[in-house]
Amino acid sequence: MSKNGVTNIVIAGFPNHAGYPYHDLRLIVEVLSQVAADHGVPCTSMAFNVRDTFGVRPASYHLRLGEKARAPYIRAGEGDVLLGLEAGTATRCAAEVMGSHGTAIINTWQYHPPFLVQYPAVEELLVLLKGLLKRVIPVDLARLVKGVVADRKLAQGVMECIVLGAASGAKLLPFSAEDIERVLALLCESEQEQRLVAAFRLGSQITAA
Amino acid sequence: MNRVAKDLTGEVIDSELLLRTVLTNPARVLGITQDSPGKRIAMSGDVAIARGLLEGGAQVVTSYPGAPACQYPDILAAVANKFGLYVEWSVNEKVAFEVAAAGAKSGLRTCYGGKDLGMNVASDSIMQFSYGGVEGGMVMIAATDIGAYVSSGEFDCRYYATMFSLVGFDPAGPQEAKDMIVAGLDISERLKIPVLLLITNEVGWCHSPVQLGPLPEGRKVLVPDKIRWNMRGAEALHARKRWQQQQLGVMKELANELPFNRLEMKGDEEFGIITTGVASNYVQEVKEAFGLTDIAVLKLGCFNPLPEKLVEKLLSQVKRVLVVEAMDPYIENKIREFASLSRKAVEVRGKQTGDLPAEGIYTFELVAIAIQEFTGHKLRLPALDKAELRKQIVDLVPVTRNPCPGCPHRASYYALKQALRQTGKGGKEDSFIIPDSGCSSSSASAMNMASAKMNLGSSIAIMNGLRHSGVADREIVATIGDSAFLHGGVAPLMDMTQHGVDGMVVIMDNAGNAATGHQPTASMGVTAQGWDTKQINFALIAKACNVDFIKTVDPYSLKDTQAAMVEAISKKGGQRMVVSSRECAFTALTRRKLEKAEVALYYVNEEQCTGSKVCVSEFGCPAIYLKENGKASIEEQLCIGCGVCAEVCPSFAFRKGEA
Repeated sequence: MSKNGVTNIVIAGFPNHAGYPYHDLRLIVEVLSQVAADHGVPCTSMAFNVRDTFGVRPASYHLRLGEKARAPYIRAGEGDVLLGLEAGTATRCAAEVMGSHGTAIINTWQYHPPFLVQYPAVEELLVLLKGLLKRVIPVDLARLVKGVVADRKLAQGVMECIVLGAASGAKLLPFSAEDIERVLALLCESEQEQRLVAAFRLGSQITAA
Repeated sequence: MNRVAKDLTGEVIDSELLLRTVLTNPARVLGITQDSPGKRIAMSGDVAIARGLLEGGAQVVTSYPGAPACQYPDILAAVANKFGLYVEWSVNEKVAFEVAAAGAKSGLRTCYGGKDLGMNVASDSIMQFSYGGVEGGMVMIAATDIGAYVSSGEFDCRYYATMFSLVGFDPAGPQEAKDMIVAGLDISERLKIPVLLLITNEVGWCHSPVQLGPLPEGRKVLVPDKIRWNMRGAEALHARKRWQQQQLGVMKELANELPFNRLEMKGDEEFGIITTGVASNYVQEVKEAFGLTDIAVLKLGCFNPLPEKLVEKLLSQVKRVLVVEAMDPYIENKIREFASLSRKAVEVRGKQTGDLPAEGIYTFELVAIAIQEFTGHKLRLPALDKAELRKQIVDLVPVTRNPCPGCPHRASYYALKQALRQTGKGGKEDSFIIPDSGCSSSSASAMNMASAKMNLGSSIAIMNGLRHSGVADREIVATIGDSAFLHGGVAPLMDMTQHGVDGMVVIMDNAGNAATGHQPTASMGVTAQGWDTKQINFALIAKACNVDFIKTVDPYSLKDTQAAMVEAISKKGGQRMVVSSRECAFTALTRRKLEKAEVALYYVNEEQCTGSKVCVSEFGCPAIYLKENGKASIEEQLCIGCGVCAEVCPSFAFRKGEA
């Protein structure tokens, strides 16, 4: 939590679209903002570059939880937690808003842009992030997703819930795991709920261990 | 249809339309139908609009999709039967406005919504309709993308409130968005004039807790009112000059009492800030962060008309006022005018005086610096540490944009590129490609094929204009999405044939408004509420317009598509149209999820890959990458099995199935 009593969370990656069936960045915002609503905690958020669809386009959310959360954007240098679904986009967001006291959970999947655009290797990005932030937790999300759901078509939201669980396990969130699981159960129909709760618990175990 | 979402009450919402939007974000519909006044539910501004329309008793909701507020009609369509609502995705904003306005003039509460630029499309009708006012309440929603993140620009719709004598609201967040819809419908019905609600990206895409209000009981009965329908000539003039102003005069008084307009003033402040909408959040946060007690703040939720008593009270107290608002200096100019007319010796500062930037979003730092300059207070704004490392990172990571894997537009553009080359028109000086708005335009930009781009539905008319202006030696191709063509492309096509324009049109039909969330178009045979209906046929429209060459192709059949385009280009002269039809890869993938259908993916046979790089350098599917040995490979996570790569590869290295 930052000094002024607000927890500033950045969620970064590629948005919900055809090529990335695991991705649903908004789900994390929806879950945490509902937990905040249940607790009477003020909360605000904002999306950058989010379109409902359009391909491989970096996107990010700013989510602010706490009594003094008013403006939707996180102040530069005040980001506390970075949930990176794609390492490059996440590293860029880290440079823009994260504080050096912050912690990042980073997906180690390597993105290869088309049209032969040069893109840094995940290993290189992790080194930079470690130089910028207090703590960096690399997670092989693609492998973990397969452990939760075999059919990738049904994996919507699973990756996000693993990351959310990892943040919870690492004590980075101002809410308990039970509160988050309860909202997950409310948000999703039963089949999906089971997958998402399982994903959340898996993520939590990784960082808690 | 599978169950895809449920309400907090546990009620399952199963509707065909949910396929398009809610499936991937089921939480969006959370709490939308709950009759639990006082309960706090986290909502985006977009969802809060939907809830506000339910609480306000809206019965007709129409829209043409445009970010950052394009989910609420789909959400309402999902619960339309339960609440006696009619919801329509119209063919364009003008039609959408007219359908909603007819309901409002007949005594119902209605809502029209669209993008800021859509207000321009609807404005022709809005002016005439507003003379006569409405019998029921009407809210008009204008969605504005401040900073132009996913739009062609940021356009300030507030001028329309002045021009058409509308009440104007600018919410600071989802809670106010919902509350302003409810209040707006009440006020509109009471004063008989429509209310314009501005929704910026900082509201539409913001999630925050919203306190629910009660849901109304019963529905209003349609009462067509002749008087409000006939507004022409002298009658219209009278309405504009007298009746509308009289109603706004009533609103002026009411505005002073609205909870959305708040003056925080102790009476000993030296400085004043007038702020509106989301900008007010930054002002409040800066004021709290630095304990600035000598600044009185007037937060405006109603920008037209201004709450003059509150403004006067503030201007009587302070000598200097800073106006903090997004977009144009609309409020700033109004305050300057008010100060002048009321003879207040107050210095008004803002965008016009260079204290705040002319465009883009605000940040804490930006507002803090403006307030520091304005007040002369030294605010401690710490510099960002590790500045060099941060810069190194920003320089290192490129911002890439590319259509989805399996995007039919990529295949269409690739076929077009090849067809132009095949016909000797492949050079930059040999052709001029004009994409329209939406995914077809974004895809063209990503594939470096866009020569020019204007407004939604304008590509064909621009092509016509270029020909009439004497561009004769180039192949001109207008590409346009299915929705854009129906929105504003049919009239230019008629103009094209009537005036004998030599040109080629490619309709990139991906069955819906892909960029804004897969809302249905008139060519899909389904309405917003999921009703099966008649389909508009693009080729038949072209035939009725006497287009010389018409061919419909499937872009996933790359060779056929390229052949059709070569044929069209080779015709030389006359009007030529290729309709490239294939469902958006996103909807196709979603459908497969619902049906739990198996999909065979592709792999690369390394022995056959010659390392030509065509798949990555020319075609650019995100699912294909080059390995260190220079051979192509497919990222299993991303491939959706469209198979176009198999046709792109000159050495037939892409194979269906498992390696």
